Amino acid sequence: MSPLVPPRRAWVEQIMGMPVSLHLRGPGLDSAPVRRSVDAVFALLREADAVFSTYRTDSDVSRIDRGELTVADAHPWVADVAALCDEAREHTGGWFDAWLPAPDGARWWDPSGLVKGWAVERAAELLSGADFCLNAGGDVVVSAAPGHPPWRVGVEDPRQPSRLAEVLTLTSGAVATSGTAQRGAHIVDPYRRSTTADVAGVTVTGPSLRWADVYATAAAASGVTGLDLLRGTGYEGMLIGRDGRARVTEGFAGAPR
Amino acid sequence: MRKITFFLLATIAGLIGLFSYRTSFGEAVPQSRPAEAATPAPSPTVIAGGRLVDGDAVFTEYGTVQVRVTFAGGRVADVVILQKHTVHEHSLVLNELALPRLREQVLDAQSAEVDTVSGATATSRAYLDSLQSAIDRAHTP
Repeated sequence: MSPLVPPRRAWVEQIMGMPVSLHLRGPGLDSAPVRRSVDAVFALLREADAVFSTYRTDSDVSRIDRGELTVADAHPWVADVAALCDEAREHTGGWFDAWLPAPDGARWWDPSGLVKGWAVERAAELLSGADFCLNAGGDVVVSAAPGHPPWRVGVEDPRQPSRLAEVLTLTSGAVATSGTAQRGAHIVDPYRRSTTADVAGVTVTGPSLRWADVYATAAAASGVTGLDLLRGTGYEGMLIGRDGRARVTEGFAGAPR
Repeated sequence: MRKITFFLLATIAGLIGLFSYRTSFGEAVPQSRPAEAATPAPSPTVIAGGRLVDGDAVFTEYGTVQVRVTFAGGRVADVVILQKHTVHEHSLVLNELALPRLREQVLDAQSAEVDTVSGATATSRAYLDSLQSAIDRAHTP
């Protein structure tokens, strides 16, 4: 006998220029309390976009970069994220760095690489206790209720995005992917100040989306040996090179293969 | 080529999602719609106990495509191309490359049976053609 499949419903919105989809499983998915939780998740992500977007000239981050606003006077989230960016820089040996190099040698502060994971993780906290799968532009947080099947997270093959390179089965936790498959080369090697050339994509899984995202970005920036950054962190990863070679950490989806 | 492949995959994956709902099985069968310049339908592979469903003709900027899906035991057993009308010669080349891969990809995607897809930041545009969007549509009332 196959296990009972719980009812499931999805909501999708475009926020921060990316599709955000929320799937919930269980009874009462059409009820008002569920609707309120769903609205709260999307509202938090929209607010994070208003504060942190580097594409919006009126965001706190854009105003800070123009010297019109100080971190102290900005939304309190800005100071939180600034502190986390510093922490991320230390944890990754400098491979994650929100201070991006400009062509003229100057640097500007762009916390985008951390904000997405941070904001989505905060949004997921609003769903605590629910059976959910929150996917924001390919970064995923899930939690399965007791007795429900785990969530199956397909990992896109960065060299051929219509195919899956791996499938992870998660009861709870996060999966983040960084790479050049969808947006082209946008990850900058902070040491050489050039875009990453030999990595097609890195996927990291672990308890927190914020850290999974930071580690995936840092590993992609540091090159084909990037998974070394995960040693001792409790996070597992898979790195696919431009040559198609896949490298995995010991505990990634039943590795070694 | 990738674009049209995505489009077709999303369309069919959406269809698969539709059929994974037991309650809608049988009533939600999309009706085939006559479309211009149809090529003769190839004979489908006959599968014992299988059910044939013709998808809507999809009009893309590259031309019109329609497929027939054979379901057996609630799963996709085969996909055949019913018609492909192309806008210009370049598309014809795309079709010849993309369509055989379509069948393979639909069967691959279903065998994976995933709930969600992790990938490098999907743009809104790429999302429209993605497996994730097909999964989302299958669960949106």
